[in-house]
Amino acid sequence: MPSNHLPNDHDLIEGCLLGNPVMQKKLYEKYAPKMYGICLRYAANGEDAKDILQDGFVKVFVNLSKYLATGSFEGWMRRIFVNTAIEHYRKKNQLYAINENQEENIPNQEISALDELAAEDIIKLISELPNGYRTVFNLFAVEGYSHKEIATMMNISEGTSKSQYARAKAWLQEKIGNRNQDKA
Amino acid sequence: MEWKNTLAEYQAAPPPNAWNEIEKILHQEENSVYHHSAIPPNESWEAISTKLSSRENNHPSRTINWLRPALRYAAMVSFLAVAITTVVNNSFRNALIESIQGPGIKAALTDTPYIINIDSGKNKIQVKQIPR
Repeated sequence: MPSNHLPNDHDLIEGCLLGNPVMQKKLYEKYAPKMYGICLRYAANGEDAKDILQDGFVKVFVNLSKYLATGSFEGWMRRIFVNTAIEHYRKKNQLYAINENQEENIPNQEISALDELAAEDIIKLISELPNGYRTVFNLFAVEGYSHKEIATMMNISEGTSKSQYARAKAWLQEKIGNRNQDKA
Repeated sequence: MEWKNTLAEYQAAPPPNAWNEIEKILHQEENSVYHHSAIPPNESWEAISTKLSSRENNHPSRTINWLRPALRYAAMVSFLAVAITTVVNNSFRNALIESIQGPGIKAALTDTPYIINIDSGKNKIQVKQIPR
């Protein structure tokens, strides 16, 4: 991507607000890799990630005038992309195919002396999680939202958020366990 | 692999532990999962740019944006004018009916059906409204 000289966020935002397509492209070039990273974490496949990326950027440009320069611009964009990802799966009705009544509590066990995992491995594993688990796992473990906040964002109960997170954890544990057994 | 077991089954026989490995990475000072970035597909910018242009083309012009509240205001004023005229007209009509005080005329002018009883003894006309 050609990005020899990138203006600062303030100039980029000003340019985009004036509808300058050059500035819009520069803003895209600056943030697209980070935002695509988020999309990949929330999406089930590359096609979905691409759709979320496109919809997210359109929302960013359309709502740019609503950005109050009080917080980080990247943080503002990040929230838009996370919400776009949640909406994407809500539209597809793929978020809550889970029994809400089952309560969680899968205890952590001792650390096993297994091969070190790389961030890339975890991202790949996260992308293989079932949709509901993946969204909650991303929001809680990666983004750092509380279960209460997740419940509001996803329109589910706090208990459901906790149980989906526990299931995601158990699912990942089993996957990594299998992976390490295969290697041994 | 698909999620097949119930949570109870996992609790009965917990899977081999590996959670701490994930936690280690998630809690690194520079959380590499959180900051993970990837090069987006080449065609993405063209798609975004096209979507933005089509939105702009479909978006009404500034003149229409300015006209919209003016039209809304004009519609509101017209509605009020019609409503006031109707009320005034009705009052005028009622006043006319009252001034004439003729039950036959009243019955003819109003939409409400009336029964007219002529009391020949008292030489008075009684008007009785039919209940709906």
